[in-house]
Amino acid sequence: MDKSTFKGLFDDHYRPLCNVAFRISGDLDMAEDIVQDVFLKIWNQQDLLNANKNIKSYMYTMVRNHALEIIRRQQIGARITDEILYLHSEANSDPIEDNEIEKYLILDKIYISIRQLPPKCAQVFTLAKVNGLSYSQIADDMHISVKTVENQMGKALKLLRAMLNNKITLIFIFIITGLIS
Amino acid sequence: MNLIKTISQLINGNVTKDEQAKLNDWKHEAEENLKALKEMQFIDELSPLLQNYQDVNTQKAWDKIHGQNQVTITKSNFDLRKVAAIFLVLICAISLFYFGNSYISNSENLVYDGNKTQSIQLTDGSDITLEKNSTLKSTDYREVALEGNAYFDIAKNPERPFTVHVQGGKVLVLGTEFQIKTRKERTSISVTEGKVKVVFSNKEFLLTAGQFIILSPYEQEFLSNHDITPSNWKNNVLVFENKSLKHVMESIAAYYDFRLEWPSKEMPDACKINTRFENETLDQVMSELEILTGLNFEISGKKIVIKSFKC
Repeated sequence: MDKSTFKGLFDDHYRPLCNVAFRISGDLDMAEDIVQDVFLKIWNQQDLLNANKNIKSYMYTMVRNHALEIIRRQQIGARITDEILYLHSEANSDPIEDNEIEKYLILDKIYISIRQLPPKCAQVFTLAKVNGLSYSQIADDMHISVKTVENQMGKALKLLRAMLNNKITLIFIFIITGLIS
Repeated sequence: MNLIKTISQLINGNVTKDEQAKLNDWKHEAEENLKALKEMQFIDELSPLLQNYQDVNTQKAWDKIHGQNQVTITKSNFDLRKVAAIFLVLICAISLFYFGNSYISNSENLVYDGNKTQSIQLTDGSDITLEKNSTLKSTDYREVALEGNAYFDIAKNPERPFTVHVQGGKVLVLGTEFQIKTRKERTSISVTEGKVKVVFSNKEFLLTAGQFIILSPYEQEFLSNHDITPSNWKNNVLVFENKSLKHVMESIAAYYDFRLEWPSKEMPDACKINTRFENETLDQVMSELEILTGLNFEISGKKIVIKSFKC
């Protein structure tokens, strides 16, 4: 792997990977350390890199498992949450597949795209989808009508879809959401 | 009709029957419409995962790992002999240890060896410190074959035990820390944390933390209470604080892969030893203990025989 390929891999996956580790550990500094470590390892073990065909799967699996392992060590003797136990027993045994990686990448792209929406549009979308507020709550909060919220939401979805246009493949949507009845 | 608004209402679960019908018509008008709807629904379903999504400074992180000058190309120093050796190990591993684990789909056929101690991280989160001139072959997910010495820190997975194959046997673990040394027909295994099951010559041994076993075709010997912890072994440092001579000697014997012969169980041992050894030879270590305790000993073959001491 040459340096520019490596840099490309880093640019595309650094933030998504940090968030994979962060969702497990809840500690952003630790998450960044884990991800940087994995990237250094990849760079320094070129043999391994060539032998491992699916480098992306390798990266995501390493990051997840290392975050889980650190958490496990921290939690020995402390209370282990059900979620962590679940992640351990279910997810830990399998590598992260391409589909899941695609999902992380699209999620990251949505995150970036929201910032490029018109401010009001971004605010409505974030309150509704990220913070989980109802349309009427948003209408109250922002002193606008529910109709306006609906319009802004529609606009946000339309714009986001346009920004993500080449990222989402139809086949992938079938896998993730199934058919809309 | 404002379709985009209707889609938004649909997502919010607040759509009238009339609007729903119109949307259905529109959806089936063109493939493009259906695609658009699905994509928007997909964005909608994925977005809640953005709660607590963290921004990071990718450029700064890049500068950090790049600036440390750690991103340098390490050239693989392959020569023909090494390739042949790897090949040989590969054949050995396949012929000796193929137990038909074909249900494991993601096999990782990787071989690690080299003239420097190296740290290997497996995809399951396990860490292995492989000593120089040792060979580790990853034959499958959660399965390796070892020739030489290595320290294992295995990630827990009750569903799938981690297996290390050594000549004449195998070691099964659920999630623990232990060390394996192999030399020709002799294999020693010491456990730092957790439990390890050893299968050797049709016999099974269960080892717990602090225990240590030496395996050869002729004998299997259990030992315990040695003091090799991952930190001091990895850094080639042995640290003792207020330890008895017997304890120190057991650790040293294990460290140098010697066997210890202690005078007798009744031998009083009032020594309180505080010392530290770093990258020292067995001779150097023994002469320091000689000064500290007036130790009278003999080294014969792979055995340290303690005769007497004064403390």
